[in-house]
Amino acid sequence: MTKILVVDDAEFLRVRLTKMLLTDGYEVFQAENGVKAVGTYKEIHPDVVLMDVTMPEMDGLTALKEIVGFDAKARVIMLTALGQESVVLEAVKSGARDFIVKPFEHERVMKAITKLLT
Amino acid sequence: MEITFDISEDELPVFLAEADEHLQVLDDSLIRLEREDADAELVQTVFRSAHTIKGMSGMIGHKRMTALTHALETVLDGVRKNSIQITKPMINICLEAVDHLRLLRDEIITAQTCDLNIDEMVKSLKDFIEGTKHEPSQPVPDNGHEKNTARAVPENGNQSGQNVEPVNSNGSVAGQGSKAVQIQAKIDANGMASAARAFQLMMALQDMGDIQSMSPSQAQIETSSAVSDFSAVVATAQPLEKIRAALMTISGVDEISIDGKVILSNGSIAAEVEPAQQKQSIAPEKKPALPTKLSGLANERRAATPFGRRSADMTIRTNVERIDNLMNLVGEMITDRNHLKQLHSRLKRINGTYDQIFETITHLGRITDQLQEEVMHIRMLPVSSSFGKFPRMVRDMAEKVGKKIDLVIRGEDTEMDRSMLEEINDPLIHLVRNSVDHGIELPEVRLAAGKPERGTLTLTARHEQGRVILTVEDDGGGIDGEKLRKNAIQKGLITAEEAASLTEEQSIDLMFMAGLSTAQKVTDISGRGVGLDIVNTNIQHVNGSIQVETKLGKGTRFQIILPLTLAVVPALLVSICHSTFAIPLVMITETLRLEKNDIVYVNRKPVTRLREKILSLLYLSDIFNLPESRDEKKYTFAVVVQSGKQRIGLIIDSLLGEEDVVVKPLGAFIGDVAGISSAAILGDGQVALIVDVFGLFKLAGI
Repeated sequence: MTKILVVDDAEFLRVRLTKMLLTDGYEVFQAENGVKAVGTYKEIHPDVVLMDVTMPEMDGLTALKEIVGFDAKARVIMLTALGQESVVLEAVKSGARDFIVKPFEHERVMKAITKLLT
Repeated sequence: MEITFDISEDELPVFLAEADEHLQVLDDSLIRLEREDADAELVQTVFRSAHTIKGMSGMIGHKRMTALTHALETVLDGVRKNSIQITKPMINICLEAVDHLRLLRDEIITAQTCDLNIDEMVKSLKDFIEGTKHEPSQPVPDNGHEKNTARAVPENGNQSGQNVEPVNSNGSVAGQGSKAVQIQAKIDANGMASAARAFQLMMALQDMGDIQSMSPSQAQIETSSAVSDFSAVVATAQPLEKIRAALMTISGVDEISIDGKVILSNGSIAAEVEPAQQKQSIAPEKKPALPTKLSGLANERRAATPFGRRSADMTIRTNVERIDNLMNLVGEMITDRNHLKQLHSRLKRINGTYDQIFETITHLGRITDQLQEEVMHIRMLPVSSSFGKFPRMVRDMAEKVGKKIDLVIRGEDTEMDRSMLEEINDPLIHLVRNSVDHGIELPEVRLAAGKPERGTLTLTARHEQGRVILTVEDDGGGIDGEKLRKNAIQKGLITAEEAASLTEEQSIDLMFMAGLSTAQKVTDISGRGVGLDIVNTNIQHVNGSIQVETKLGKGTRFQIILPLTLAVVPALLVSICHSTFAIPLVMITETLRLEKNDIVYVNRKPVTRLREKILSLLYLSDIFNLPESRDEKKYTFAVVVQSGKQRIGLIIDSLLGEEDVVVKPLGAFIGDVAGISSAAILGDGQVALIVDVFGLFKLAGI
């Protein structure tokens, strides 16, 4: 089954995303900060990572760099907020494959994922 | 006005709990920022909480909440980047915004918009930011902030998944046989960070070969906020199909053409490309998940939490009602265990020993105890959930009355029953408010008295011998017993004679008297006494007790002692005229065996001498109107109970033993019975009444 790793410090966001992704038939894993995300990535090799930017312990940008450093083919989609333009550019430079702006619709997430998986 | 949000019932508790958590963090951290030097980590924490709330509220379509958190976040971002200084006005406006957010959070429950003018609040935050701008500082970097605030940004790029190879499987460099390919793209200008999309296009092309020319240039892309037209010439040996596939994985691009041939327009794939195998590729493939190496990773695996388990701290959220039901069942089980115990002892009398039954009972007993403990733990909450609001409260109140107060909280991890926590919430607020309002003196008064200018208010919680002990302590002016006595006489609550016979401690306890505390002017004399009788009543209501220690000029300490839970009470069973009563163990200090001539009468009231002190006695048979022939017995028993500093000996016929009794309310049709708080079903099926010790103190006029 396609494995998706959802990384966000807000439990509500994880719950919401997990719900969406389960409906789409994915296997979903969660992590609530960058450190855990990197650990989980190395362990389960998810097909796609949905990564929040602002998180405690380790932020999404650092986690992205670590993940891409570990696996150059990692498909990481950043979950960004308005006003994080500079972060987005840096994320893309660092190997993020897409970014989704919060608040997002189910369809936007689904498309971003299928796009990367094809 | 009615308002609805995009949130389902099962998501609601998660949302609310999380929002509350972050609002609390905001409150606490802002107050800490005000007091301490700006600690980068703390600033980061505040910012993150605002940011998280913004993200969450956006997801459920709570636009006003999103707008307000965005404005708040912008202020905090300024603090983070040192363009805004931490000042009192800055903290005040942020705290005000947090208060507004609380009301906006409530809208999600009530589905009604609150009366607050959120736009106004947002505007004051923005004005505040504007106001700080001409101060010398680094500029706030994102100009795009404000204009984007309230609306969701449409994200285009809705081509469906296509059966193409992943872009990163390819790392070839242009070499022999390469040709120049002209790429043109239009990027959705409404999308956020369109420059980043251009950057993605550039990166994808770099993978394909050498970029010979590009407009805008890389430097321009990296510095501009929006890019709508992108064009490049790339020297590549890759087939066009591969280039096309690589470009198509990028979202937010409206139009792409390769060598003048449009492959994507208006965000949808151009006609010539058949989307035949879409379905197949969208459907997630079924690979066996991780067949190997799992066992070795068992420990790390905890980090990876499949849906259904919260990764944060492995806690569950559940309905309180469900836990209550569990607790009730445990209660029934305890009753059964007690019953079995009794049956066993009866059988033993008739038929010798029944070892196996005994073993089973012992085992059942252990299991029941463990189960009870586990369920109790589920019902427990750390006191921090109640203490958490005090930093903000004390700060606001101190500010209002012009005092300087440091709040110290200790033991906030101490856990206690959640219903108990609810019950003592108001009394705690009361005590804290009293300390701030009347206990701690004004800065000048303190200085004049040779004390530090800032007063200290200490809240503590701890477990001690199966009880929870909470204290509220201040280093204020203390309470004057003499003034209390005078006031009580004035109010006609006690006579001058009575007052004269009161010890200092007893005088202090006067402040818990109803008549004294409800009188408005009491605050003028000692500074204390507002509603303390209500505090006392509330605490007694949950089988707790309150004590006060005070030293004039030095300060006052209130100590609240509470049982761990209300559902099961460890009690001493006693017999009075062949009826069984239960006295909660928390209240008991000791039991005495009294000879007939140990009891003497003073003012026609029975008393005895206990370790050189006089102890008042109370015949429970009198209180409960039970027939008794007092004079026939050679000796009798007294159970010494304590409330605050008052003690009294309850005279009973015999002691039956200790038992954990399951508390059952008396029922509305019986109503309040003086001296009885509730009932319990004993092991043998008998009903025992649970003695209301506080009620007895009142009945005895002590």
